[in-house]
Amino acid sequence: MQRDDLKKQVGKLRRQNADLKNQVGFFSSLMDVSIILSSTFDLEELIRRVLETSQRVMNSEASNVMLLNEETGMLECKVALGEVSEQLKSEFTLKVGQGIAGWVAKHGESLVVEDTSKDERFFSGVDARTGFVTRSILASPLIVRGKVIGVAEVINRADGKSFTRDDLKLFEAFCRGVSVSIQNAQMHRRLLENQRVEQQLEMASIIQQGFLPRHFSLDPPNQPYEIAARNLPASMVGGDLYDCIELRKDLLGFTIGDVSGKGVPAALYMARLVSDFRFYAHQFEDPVPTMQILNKMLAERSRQGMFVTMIYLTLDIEHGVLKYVNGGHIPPLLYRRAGSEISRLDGGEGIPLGIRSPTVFSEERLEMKPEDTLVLFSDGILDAKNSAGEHFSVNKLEKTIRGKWDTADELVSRIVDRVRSHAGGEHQFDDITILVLRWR
Amino acid sequence: MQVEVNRRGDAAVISVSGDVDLYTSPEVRKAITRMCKKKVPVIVINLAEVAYMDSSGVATLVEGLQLSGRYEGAFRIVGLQPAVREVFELARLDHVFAIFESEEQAVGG
Repeated sequence: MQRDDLKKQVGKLRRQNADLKNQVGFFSSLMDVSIILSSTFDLEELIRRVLETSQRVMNSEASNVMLLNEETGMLECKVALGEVSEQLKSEFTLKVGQGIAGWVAKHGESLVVEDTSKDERFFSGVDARTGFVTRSILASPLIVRGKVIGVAEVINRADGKSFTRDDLKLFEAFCRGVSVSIQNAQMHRRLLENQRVEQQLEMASIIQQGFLPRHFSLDPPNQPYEIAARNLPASMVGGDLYDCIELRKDLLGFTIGDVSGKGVPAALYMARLVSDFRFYAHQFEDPVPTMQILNKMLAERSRQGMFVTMIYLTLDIEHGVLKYVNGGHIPPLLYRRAGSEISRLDGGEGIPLGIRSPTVFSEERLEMKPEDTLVLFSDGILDAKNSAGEHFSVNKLEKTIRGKWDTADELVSRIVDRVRSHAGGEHQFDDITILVLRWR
Repeated sequence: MQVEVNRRGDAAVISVSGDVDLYTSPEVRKAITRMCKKKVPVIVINLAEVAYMDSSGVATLVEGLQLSGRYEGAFRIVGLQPAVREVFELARLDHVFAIFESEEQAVGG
Protein backbone atom coordinates (compact mmCIF):
# COMPACT_ATOMS: atom_id res chain seq x y z
CA MET A 1 0.00 0.00 0.00
CA GLN A 2 1.25 3.43 -0.92
CA ARG A 3 2.01 5.92 1.83
CA ASP A 4 -0.76 8.29 0.58
CA ASP A 5 -3.33 5.53 0.60
CA LEU A 6 -2.30 4.65 4.12
CA LYS A 7 -2.72 8.26 5.18
CA LYS A 8 -6.22 8.34 3.62
CA GLN A 9 -7.14 5.12 5.40
CA VAL A 10 -5.93 6.51 8.75
CA GLY A 11 -7.91 9.70 8.15
CA LYS A 12 -11.00 7.70 7.28
CA LEU A 13 -10.63 5.52 10.38
CA ARG A 14 -10.19 8.60 12.58
CA ARG A 15 -13.38 10.11 11.17
CA GLN A 16 -15.24 6.85 11.67
CA ASN A 17 -13.86 6.68 15.19
CA ALA A 18 -15.04 10.22 15.88
CA ASP A 19 -18.49 9.39 14.46
CA LEU A 20 -18.65 6.28 16.60
CA LYS A 21 -17.62 8.27 19.66
CA ASN A 22 -20.38 10.75 18.86
CA GLN A 23 -22.87 7.97 18.49
CA VAL A 24 -21.77 6.39 21.75
CA GLY A 25 -22.20 9.82 23.37
CA PHE A 26 -25.59 10.16 21.72
CA PHE A 27 -26.83 6.77 22.91
CA SER A 28 -25.34 7.02 26.38
CA SER A 29 -27.00 10.42 26.94
CA LEU A 30 -30.28 8.96 25.62
CA MET A 31 -29.79 6.15 28.09
CA ASP A 32 -29.19 8.71 30.89
CA VAL A 33 -32.42 10.47 29.98
CA SER A 34 -34.43 7.27 29.74
CA ILE A 35 -33.20 6.33 33.24
CA ILE A 36 -34.29 9.77 34.49
CA LEU A 37 -37.68 9.40 32.81
CA SER A 38 -38.38 6.18 34.64
CA SER A 39 -36.87 7.27 37.95
CA THR A 40 -39.47 9.67 39.32
CA PHE A 41 -43.19 10.49 39.23
CA ASP A 42 -42.46 14.10 40.14
CA LEU A 43 -42.87 15.83 36.79
CA GLU A 44 -41.07 19.03 37.75
CA GLU A 45 -38.10 17.11 39.13
CA LEU A 46 -38.06 14.93 36.01
CA ILE A 47 -38.02 17.92 33.64
CA ARG A 48 -35.32 19.62 35.70
CA ARG A 49 -33.08 16.54 35.51
CA VAL A 50 -33.62 16.13 31.75
CA LEU A 51 -32.71 19.80 31.29
CA GLU A 52 -29.56 19.32 33.40
CA THR A 53 -28.52 16.43 31.15
CA SER A 54 -29.35 18.49 28.04
CA GLN A 55 -27.22 21.37 29.28
CA ARG A 56 -24.32 19.08 30.10
CA VAL A 57 -24.45 17.18 26.80
CA MET A 58 -24.96 20.27 24.67
CA ASN A 59 -22.59 22.34 26.73
CA SER A 60 -25.13 25.13 27.13
CA GLU A 61 -25.57 27.98 29.60
CA ALA A 62 -29.30 27.84 30.23
CA SER A 63 -32.43 25.88 29.46
CA ASN A 64 -36.13 25.93 30.13
CA VAL A 65 -39.41 24.14 29.56
CA MET A 66 -42.57 26.14 28.95
CA LEU A 67 -46.00 24.55 29.07
CA LEU A 68 -49.05 25.85 27.29
CA ASN A 69 -51.82 27.08 29.58
CA GLU A 70 -54.92 26.02 27.64
CA GLU A 71 -57.17 28.54 29.37
CA THR A 72 -55.03 31.60 28.73
CA GLY A 73 -53.31 30.35 25.54
CA MET A 74 -49.97 31.49 27.02
CA LEU A 75 -46.70 29.59 27.32
CA GLU A 76 -45.68 29.57 30.96
CA CYS A 77 -42.24 28.70 32.24
CA LYS A 78 -42.49 25.47 34.23
CA VAL A 79 -38.78 24.75 34.85
CA ALA A 80 -35.76 26.93 34.09
CA LEU A 81 -32.05 26.40 34.69
CA GLY A 82 -29.30 29.00 34.41
CA GLU A 83 -28.40 32.26 36.05
CA VAL A 84 -31.80 33.98 35.62
CA SER A 85 -33.92 30.88 36.15
CA GLU A 86 -35.88 32.15 39.14
CA GLN A 87 -36.84 35.35 37.33
CA LEU A 88 -37.81 33.39 34.25
CA LYS A 89 -40.04 31.08 36.26
CA SER A 90 -41.90 33.87 38.01
CA GLU A 91 -42.21 36.39 35.17
CA PHE A 92 -41.79 34.62 31.88
CA THR A 93 -44.87 34.08 29.69
CA LEU A 94 -45.16 34.18 25.92
CA LYS A 95 -48.07 34.18 23.53
CA VAL A 96 -48.22 31.33 21.05
CA GLY A 97 -46.49 32.74 17.96
CA GLN A 98 -44.39 35.17 19.99
CA GLY A 99 -40.61 34.69 20.10
CA ILE A 100 -38.73 31.52 19.20
CA ALA A 101 -40.64 29.36 21.69
CA GLY A 102 -43.92 30.83 20.49
CA TRP A 103 -42.99 30.06 16.88
CA VAL A 104 -42.13 26.46 17.78
CA ALA A 105 -45.42 26.09 19.71
CA LYS A 106 -47.37 27.52 16.80
CA HIS A 107 -45.73 25.41 14.09
CA GLY A 108 -45.01 22.26 16.11
CA GLU A 109 -41.50 22.15 14.60
CA SER A 110 -38.02 22.30 16.13
CA LEU A 111 -35.72 25.20 15.46
CA VAL A 112 -31.99 25.93 15.64
CA VAL A 113 -31.28 29.65 15.87
CA GLU A 114 -27.54 30.18 15.42
CA ASP A 115 -27.59 33.92 15.98
CA THR A 116 -30.63 35.47 17.66
CA SER A 117 -29.60 38.99 16.59
CA LYS A 118 -30.19 37.96 12.98
CA ASP A 119 -33.50 36.20 13.53
CA GLU A 120 -36.51 38.47 13.54
CA ARG A 121 -38.65 35.85 15.28
CA PHE A 122 -36.51 36.31 18.42
CA PHE A 123 -38.30 38.24 21.19
CA SER A 124 -35.74 40.42 23.00
CA GLY A 125 -38.15 41.49 25.75
CA VAL A 126 -37.09 38.70 28.09
CA ASP A 127 -33.38 39.56 27.84
CA ALA A 128 -34.22 43.23 28.33
CA ARG A 129 -36.00 42.35 31.57
CA THR A 130 -33.50 39.84 32.95
CA GLY A 131 -30.21 41.24 31.67
CA PHE A 132 -29.34 37.82 30.22
CA VAL A 133 -27.87 37.77 26.70
CA THR A 134 -29.33 35.08 24.45
CA ARG A 135 -27.05 34.33 21.51
CA SER A 136 -28.25 31.00 20.17
CA ILE A 137 -31.22 28.73 20.85
CA LEU A 138 -32.19 25.17 20.28
CA ALA A 139 -35.95 24.73 20.67
CA SER A 140 -38.17 21.71 20.31
CA PRO A 141 -41.93 21.24 20.79
CA LEU A 142 -43.39 18.91 23.40
CA ILE A 143 -46.14 17.02 21.65
CA VAL A 144 -48.77 14.82 23.26
CA ARG A 145 -51.31 12.99 21.07
CA GLY A 146 -50.45 15.21 18.11
CA LYS A 147 -51.02 18.41 20.10
CA VAL A 148 -48.29 20.85 21.16
CA ILE A 149 -48.41 21.12 24.95
CA GLY A 150 -45.19 23.06 25.46
CA VAL A 151 -41.71 23.94 24.25
CA ALA A 152 -38.24 23.06 25.56
CA GLU A 153 -35.18 25.21 24.88
CA VAL A 154 -31.45 25.09 25.50
CA ILE A 155 -29.70 28.43 25.23
CA ASN A 156 -26.15 29.56 24.35
CA ARG A 157 -23.39 27.01 23.87
CA ALA A 158 -20.81 27.71 26.56
CA ASP A 159 -17.97 27.42 24.02
CA GLY A 160 -19.54 30.20 21.92
CA LYS A 161 -20.17 27.89 18.98
CA SER A 162 -23.60 27.29 17.40
CA PHE A 163 -25.80 24.33 18.16
CA THR A 164 -25.47 21.58 15.57
CA ARG A 165 -27.94 19.34 13.75
CA ASP A 166 -26.74 16.49 15.97
CA ASP A 167 -27.56 18.57 19.06
CA LEU A 168 -31.02 19.10 17.61
CA LYS A 169 -31.52 15.40 16.91
CA LEU A 170 -30.54 14.49 20.44
CA PHE A 171 -32.60 17.26 22.01
CA GLU A 172 -35.65 16.19 20.01
CA ALA A 173 -35.22 12.66 21.35
CA PHE A 174 -35.03 14.03 24.91
CA CYS A 175 -38.16 16.07 24.29
CA ARG A 176 -40.06 13.06 23.00
CA GLY A 177 -39.21 11.30 26.27
CA VAL A 178 -40.34 14.29 28.31
CA SER A 179 -43.58 14.46 26.28
CA VAL A 180 -44.35 10.81 27.03
CA SER A 181 -43.66 11.44 30.73
CA ILE A 182 -45.94 14.46 30.75
CA GLN A 183 -48.61 12.40 29.01
CA ASN A 184 -48.23 9.63 31.60
CA ALA A 185 -48.33 12.13 34.45
CA GLN A 186 -51.47 13.72 32.99
CA MET A 187 -53.12 10.33 32.61
CA HIS A 188 -52.14 9.38 36.16
CA ARG A 189 -53.57 12.68 37.45
CA ARG A 190 -56.77 12.22 35.48
CA LEU A 191 -57.14 8.69 36.82
CA LEU A 192 -56.81 9.98 40.39
CA GLU A 193 -59.26 12.79 39.65
CA ASN A 194 -61.73 10.30 38.18
CA GLN A 195 -61.41 8.11 41.24
CA ARG A 196 -62.05 11.12 43.47
CA VAL A 197 -65.08 12.16 41.41
CA GLU A 198 -66.38 8.62 41.52
CA GLN A 199 -66.05 8.52 45.30
CA GLN A 200 -67.86 11.84 45.58
CA LEU A 201 -70.61 10.61 43.27
CA GLU A 202 -71.01 7.49 45.39
CA MET A 203 -71.49 9.72 48.43
CA ALA A 204 -73.87 11.96 46.47
CA SER A 205 -75.83 8.90 45.39
CA ILE A 206 -76.27 7.78 49.01
CA ILE A 207 -77.31 11.31 50.02
CA GLN A 208 -79.73 11.60 47.10
CA GLN A 209 -81.39 8.28 47.84
CA GLY A 210 -81.85 9.65 51.37
CA PHE A 211 -84.13 12.37 49.96
CA LEU A 212 -86.49 9.74 48.61
CA PRO A 213 -88.65 8.03 51.21
CA ARG A 214 -88.22 4.29 51.61
CA HIS A 215 -90.98 3.73 54.09
CA PHE A 216 -94.36 5.34 54.02
CA SER A 217 -96.73 6.24 56.80
CA LEU A 218 -99.25 3.91 55.16
CA ASP A 219 -97.04 0.92 55.70
CA PRO A 220 -98.91 -0.66 58.66
CA PRO A 221 -101.04 -3.44 57.19
CA ASN A 222 -104.25 -2.24 58.86
CA GLN A 223 -104.29 0.87 56.61
CA PRO A 224 -106.66 0.74 53.63
CA TYR A 225 -103.90 1.93 51.28
CA GLU A 226 -100.38 0.81 50.63
CA ILE A 227 -97.66 2.57 48.71
CA ALA A 228 -94.30 1.51 47.25
CA ALA A 229 -91.72 3.23 45.11
CA ARG A 230 -88.34 2.68 43.47
CA ASN A 231 -85.82 4.98 41.84
CA LEU A 232 -83.00 3.68 39.63
CA PRO A 233 -80.80 6.49 38.34
CA ALA A 234 -79.05 5.91 34.99
CA SER A 235 -75.76 7.04 36.53
CA MET A 236 -74.91 7.37 40.21
CA VAL A 237 -77.19 10.34 40.68
CA GLY A 238 -80.23 11.30 38.67
CA GLY A 239 -82.98 13.82 38.13
CA ASP A 240 -86.08 11.75 38.86
CA LEU A 241 -87.94 12.32 42.07
CA TYR A 242 -90.89 10.99 44.00
CA ASP A 243 -92.33 11.78 47.36
CA CYS A 244 -95.23 10.92 49.57
CA ILE A 245 -96.20 13.02 52.55
CA GLU A 246 -98.95 13.03 55.10
CA LEU A 247 -100.56 16.47 54.78
CA ARG A 248 -103.16 15.67 57.45
CA LYS A 249 -104.21 12.46 59.15
CA ASP A 250 -106.74 11.90 56.36
CA LEU A 251 -104.94 13.57 53.48
CA LEU A 252 -101.97 12.27 51.61
CA GLY A 253 -99.88 14.15 49.02
CA PHE A 254 -97.68 12.33 46.53
CA THR A 255 -95.69 13.27 43.50
CA ILE A 256 -93.39 12.02 40.80
CA GLY A 257 -91.17 14.17 38.61
CA ASP A 258 -88.47 14.07 35.99
CA VAL A 259 -85.91 16.89 35.76
CA SER A 260 -84.56 17.67 32.27
CA GLY A 261 -81.04 16.42 31.58
CA LYS A 262 -79.13 13.89 33.64
CA GLY A 263 -76.42 13.45 36.21
CA VAL A 264 -75.25 16.01 38.74
CA PRO A 265 -77.07 19.15 37.44
CA ALA A 266 -80.37 17.27 37.36
CA ALA A 267 -79.64 15.77 40.80
CA LEU A 268 -78.99 19.18 42.37
CA TYR A 269 -82.15 20.58 40.80
CA MET A 270 -84.09 17.58 42.07
CA ALA A 271 -82.67 17.91 45.62
CA ARG A 272 -83.83 21.49 46.00
CA LEU A 273 -87.18 20.73 44.40
CA VAL A 274 -87.91 17.87 46.83
CA SER A 275 -87.22 20.17 49.75
CA ASP A 276 -89.37 22.99 48.28
CA PHE A 277 -92.14 20.51 47.51
CA ARG A 278 -92.30 19.29 51.11
CA PHE A 279 -92.44 22.84 52.42
CA TYR A 280 -95.11 24.20 50.05
CA ALA A 281 -97.25 21.06 49.91
CA HIS A 282 -97.78 21.44 53.70
CA GLN A 283 -98.57 25.13 53.30
CA PHE A 284 -101.23 24.85 50.60
CA GLU A 285 -102.57 21.28 50.72
CA ASP A 286 -104.34 21.68 47.37
CA PRO A 287 -102.35 20.70 44.25
CA VAL A 288 -102.96 23.83 42.14
CA PRO A 289 -101.45 26.49 44.46
CA THR A 290 -98.59 24.14 45.38
CA MET A 291 -97.72 23.61 41.71
CA GLN A 292 -98.10 27.32 40.98
CA ILE A 293 -95.66 28.41 43.67
CA LEU A 294 -93.18 25.66 42.73
CA ASN A 295 -93.40 26.70 39.07
CA LYS A 296 -92.86 30.36 39.97
CA MET A 297 -89.78 29.57 42.03
CA LEU A 298 -88.30 27.23 39.43
CA ALA A 299 -88.92 29.70 36.58
CA GLU A 300 -87.30 32.52 38.58
CA ARG A 301 -84.16 30.55 39.28
CA SER A 302 -84.11 28.88 35.85
CA ARG A 303 -80.64 28.06 34.51
CA GLN A 304 -79.92 26.77 31.03
CA GLY A 305 -83.59 26.12 30.39
CA MET A 306 -83.82 23.30 32.95
CA PHE A 307 -87.35 22.25 33.80
CA VAL A 308 -89.22 19.42 35.44
CA THR A 309 -92.24 17.40 34.36
CA MET A 310 -94.14 16.67 37.54
CA ILE A 311 -97.51 15.40 38.66
CA TYR A 312 -98.88 16.12 42.09
CA LEU A 313 -101.80 14.26 43.61
CA THR A 314 -103.61 14.45 46.92
CA LEU A 315 -105.72 11.61 48.25
CA ASP A 316 -108.51 11.94 50.76
CA ILE A 317 -107.94 8.64 52.50
CA GLU A 318 -111.44 8.31 53.92
CA HIS A 319 -113.38 8.98 50.76
CA GLY A 320 -110.86 7.96 48.13
CA VAL A 321 -111.05 11.36 46.43
CA LEU A 322 -108.02 11.98 44.31
CA LYS A 323 -107.17 15.52 43.16
CA TYR A 324 -104.29 16.04 40.76
CA VAL A 325 -102.42 18.49 38.59
CA ASN A 326 -100.09 17.34 35.85
CA GLY A 327 -97.20 19.57 34.81
CA GLY A 328 -96.26 17.86 31.52
CA HIS A 329 -95.55 14.45 33.07
CA ILE A 330 -96.54 11.12 31.51
CA PRO A 331 -100.06 10.43 32.78
CA PRO A 332 -100.17 7.72 35.47
CA LEU A 333 -102.13 4.52 34.87
CA LEU A 334 -105.14 3.53 36.94
CA TYR A 335 -105.76 -0.20 37.21
CA ARG A 336 -109.22 -1.39 38.24
CA ARG A 337 -108.69 -5.00 39.14
CA ALA A 338 -112.37 -5.87 39.01
CA GLY A 339 -112.64 -5.52 35.24
CA SER A 340 -108.89 -5.79 34.60
CA GLU A 341 -109.27 -2.32 33.15
CA ILE A 342 -106.41 0.15 32.76
CA SER A 343 -106.94 3.83 31.99
CA ARG A 344 -104.67 6.85 31.66
CA LEU A 345 -105.08 9.56 34.25
CA ASP A 346 -105.62 12.32 31.73
CA GLY A 347 -106.66 15.86 32.50
CA GLY A 348 -105.40 18.33 35.07
CA GLU A 349 -102.89 19.23 32.42
CA GLY A 350 -100.39 22.03 32.50
CA ILE A 351 -96.95 22.64 31.07
CA PRO A 352 -93.76 21.42 32.78
CA LEU A 353 -92.58 23.49 35.74
CA GLY A 354 -89.84 26.08 35.51
CA ILE A 355 -90.41 27.20 31.92
CA ARG A 356 -92.61 30.26 32.35
CA SER A 357 -94.51 31.95 35.08
CA PRO A 358 -97.34 32.59 35.63
CA THR A 359 -98.98 29.64 33.98
CA VAL A 360 -102.38 28.02 34.38
CA PHE A 361 -102.77 24.69 36.09
CA SER A 362 -106.17 23.07 36.32
CA GLU A 363 -107.20 20.45 38.81
CA GLU A 364 -108.78 17.13 37.97
CA ARG A 365 -110.62 14.83 40.37
CA LEU A 366 -111.22 11.12 40.46
CA GLU A 367 -112.74 8.78 42.96
CA MET A 368 -110.65 5.77 43.83
CA LYS A 369 -112.36 2.51 44.68
CA PRO A 370 -111.20 -0.49 46.70
CA GLU A 371 -108.71 -2.63 44.76
CA ASP A 372 -107.76 0.31 42.55
CA THR A 373 -104.07 0.68 41.84
CA LEU A 374 -102.40 3.82 40.63
CA VAL A 375 -99.06 3.49 38.83
CA LEU A 376 -96.93 6.62 38.47
CA PHE A 377 -93.72 6.35 36.46
CA SER A 378 -91.03 8.28 34.63
CA ASP A 379 -90.28 7.97 30.92
CA GLY A 380 -87.10 6.03 31.68
CA ILE A 381 -89.36 2.96 31.84
CA LEU A 382 -90.80 3.44 28.36
CA ASP A 383 -87.41 4.52 26.95
CA ALA A 384 -85.59 1.37 28.14
CA LYS A 385 -84.30 -0.28 24.97
CA ASN A 386 -83.33 -3.84 24.16
CA SER A 387 -80.44 -4.82 21.87
CA ALA A 388 -82.75 -4.51 18.83
CA GLY A 389 -83.46 -0.90 19.80
CA GLU A 390 -87.07 -1.63 20.80
CA HIS A 391 -88.52 0.35 23.67
CA PHE A 392 -90.30 -1.11 26.67
CA SER A 393 -93.75 -0.05 25.52
CA VAL A 394 -96.85 1.03 27.44
CA ASN A 395 -98.36 -2.31 26.37
CA LYS A 396 -95.62 -4.21 28.18
CA LEU A 397 -96.12 -2.03 31.24
CA GLU A 398 -99.88 -2.64 31.17
CA LYS A 399 -99.35 -6.37 30.73
CA THR A 400 -97.10 -6.38 33.82
CA ILE A 401 -99.71 -4.46 35.81
CA ARG A 402 -102.41 -6.98 34.79
CA GLY A 403 -100.12 -9.86 35.77
CA LYS A 404 -99.91 -11.74 39.06
CA TRP A 405 -98.84 -9.76 42.13
CA ASP A 406 -100.24 -9.21 45.61
CA THR A 407 -98.73 -6.05 47.06
CA ALA A 408 -97.71 -2.61 45.79
CA ASP A 409 -94.09 -3.47 46.53
CA GLU A 410 -94.40 -6.68 44.54
CA LEU A 411 -95.80 -4.79 41.55
CA VAL A 412 -92.94 -2.27 41.69
CA SER A 413 -90.43 -5.14 41.75
CA ARG A 414 -92.23 -6.88 38.89
CA ILE A 415 -92.08 -3.75 36.73
CA VAL A 416 -88.38 -3.22 37.49
CA ASP A 417 -87.65 -6.90 36.68
CA ARG A 418 -89.58 -6.72 33.40
CA VAL A 419 -87.86 -3.53 32.31
CA ARG A 420 -84.47 -5.04 33.16
CA SER A 421 -85.16 -8.30 31.39
CA HIS A 422 -86.41 -6.37 28.34
CA ALA A 423 -83.22 -4.28 28.27
CA GLY A 424 -81.01 -7.37 28.71
CA GLY A 425 -77.52 -6.06 29.31
CA GLU A 426 -78.15 -2.81 27.42
CA HIS A 427 -77.05 0.42 29.03
CA GLN A 428 -79.74 2.27 31.01
CA PHE A 429 -79.93 5.70 29.38
CA ASP A 430 -82.51 7.37 31.54
CA ASP A 431 -83.48 7.43 35.19
CA ILE A 432 -86.27 5.02 36.08
CA THR A 433 -88.82 5.76 38.77
CA ILE A 434 -92.05 4.02 39.74
CA LEU A 435 -94.53 4.78 42.47
CA VAL A 436 -97.50 2.52 43.13
CA LEU A 437 -100.46 3.40 45.34
CA ARG A 438 -102.98 0.65 45.96
CA TRP A 439 -106.27 0.53 47.78
CA ARG A 440 -106.08 -2.88 49.41
CA MET B 1 -74.80 16.39 14.78
CA GLN B 2 -74.50 19.61 12.80
CA VAL B 3 -75.74 23.11 13.40
CA GLU B 4 -76.03 25.68 10.64
CA VAL B 5 -77.09 29.28 11.02
CA ASN B 6 -78.53 31.28 8.10
CA ARG B 7 -79.80 34.82 8.24
CA ARG B 8 -83.03 35.47 6.39
CA GLY B 9 -83.88 39.14 6.76
CA ASP B 10 -84.80 39.80 10.40
CA ALA B 11 -84.73 36.11 11.15
CA ALA B 12 -81.94 33.68 11.96
CA VAL B 13 -82.68 30.10 10.96
CA ILE B 14 -80.76 27.58 13.05
CA SER B 15 -80.92 24.25 11.22
CA VAL B 16 -79.97 21.22 13.27
CA SER B 17 -79.29 17.76 11.90
CA GLY B 18 -78.67 14.60 13.93
CA ASP B 19 -79.66 13.54 17.43
CA VAL B 20 -79.88 16.26 20.06
CA ASP B 21 -78.99 14.93 23.49
CA LEU B 22 -76.91 15.67 26.59
CA TYR B 23 -73.69 15.49 24.60
CA THR B 24 -74.69 17.31 21.41
CA SER B 25 -77.08 19.95 22.77
CA PRO B 26 -74.23 22.32 23.85
CA GLU B 27 -73.56 22.98 20.13
CA VAL B 28 -77.19 23.97 19.59
CA ARG B 29 -77.07 26.05 22.75
CA LYS B 30 -74.01 27.92 21.50
CA ALA B 31 -75.78 28.89 18.27
CA ILE B 32 -78.97 29.93 20.07
CA THR B 33 -77.27 32.01 22.77
CA ARG B 34 -75.14 33.72 20.11
CA MET B 35 -78.30 34.82 18.27
CA CYS B 36 -79.98 35.86 21.53
CA LYS B 37 -76.96 37.97 22.49
CA LYS B 38 -77.34 39.77 19.17
CA LYS B 39 -81.05 40.20 19.98
CA VAL B 40 -82.07 38.72 16.65
CA PRO B 41 -85.82 39.56 16.37
CA VAL B 42 -86.89 36.14 15.06
CA ILE B 43 -85.08 32.89 15.82
CA VAL B 44 -86.30 29.85 13.92
CA ILE B 45 -85.09 26.40 14.94
CA ASN B 46 -85.43 23.96 12.06
CA LEU B 47 -85.56 20.40 13.39
CA ALA B 48 -86.48 18.69 10.11
CA GLU B 49 -83.27 16.63 10.29
CA VAL B 50 -83.60 15.70 13.97
CA ALA B 51 -85.01 12.23 14.58
CA TYR B 52 -84.33 12.15 18.32
CA MET B 53 -84.20 14.76 21.05
CA ASP B 54 -83.89 14.11 24.78
CA SER B 55 -84.85 16.42 27.63
CA SER B 56 -81.41 18.13 27.56
CA GLY B 57 -82.18 19.12 23.98
CA VAL B 58 -85.61 20.39 24.97
CA ALA B 59 -84.03 22.38 27.83
CA THR B 60 -81.76 24.04 25.28
CA LEU B 61 -84.83 25.19 23.37
CA VAL B 62 -86.51 26.33 26.59
CA GLU B 63 -83.44 28.43 27.34
CA GLY B 64 -83.64 29.97 23.86
CA LEU B 65 -87.31 30.76 24.47
CA GLN B 66 -86.51 32.37 27.83
CA LEU B 67 -83.51 34.36 26.52
CA SER B 68 -85.32 35.66 23.44
CA GLY B 69 -88.36 36.48 25.60
CA ARG B 70 -86.22 38.93 27.59
CA TYR B 71 -85.88 41.20 24.56
CA GLU B 72 -89.33 40.28 23.21
CA GLY B 73 -87.85 38.30 20.36
CA ALA B 74 -89.80 35.53 18.66
CA PHE B 75 -88.61 31.96 19.10
CA ARG B 76 -90.13 29.50 16.65
CA ILE B 77 -89.77 25.84 15.91
CA VAL B 78 -90.30 24.10 12.60
CA GLY B 79 -89.91 20.61 11.14
CA LEU B 80 -90.82 18.44 14.14
CA GLN B 81 -90.31 14.80 13.21
CA PRO B 82 -92.74 12.20 14.65
CA ALA B 83 -90.58 11.04 17.58
CA VAL B 84 -89.66 14.59 18.56
CA ARG B 85 -93.27 15.76 18.10
CA GLU B 86 -94.33 12.98 20.48
CA VAL B 87 -91.87 14.23 23.13
CA PHE B 88 -93.27 17.74 22.71
CA GLU B 89 -96.89 16.66 22.86
CA LEU B 90 -96.45 14.29 25.79
CA ALA B 91 -94.90 17.05 27.89
CA ARG B 92 -97.38 19.60 26.50
CA LEU B 93 -94.48 21.59 25.12
CA ASP B 94 -96.63 22.25 22.05
CA HIS B 95 -98.38 24.70 24.41
CA VAL B 96 -95.06 26.35 25.22
CA PHE B 97 -93.42 26.82 21.83
CA ALA B 98 -94.66 28.44 18.65
CA ILE B 99 -94.53 25.48 16.26
CA PHE B 100 -94.77 26.02 12.51
CA GLU B 101 -95.25 23.63 9.62
CA SER B 102 -92.82 25.28 7.19
CA GLU B 103 -89.70 27.39 7.43
CA GLU B 104 -91.35 30.01 5.20
CA GLN B 105 -94.20 30.42 7.65
CA ALA B 106 -91.86 30.45 10.63
CA VAL B 107 -89.64 33.14 9.14
CA GLY B 108 -92.63 35.21 8.09
CA GLY B 109 -94.47 34.62 11.36
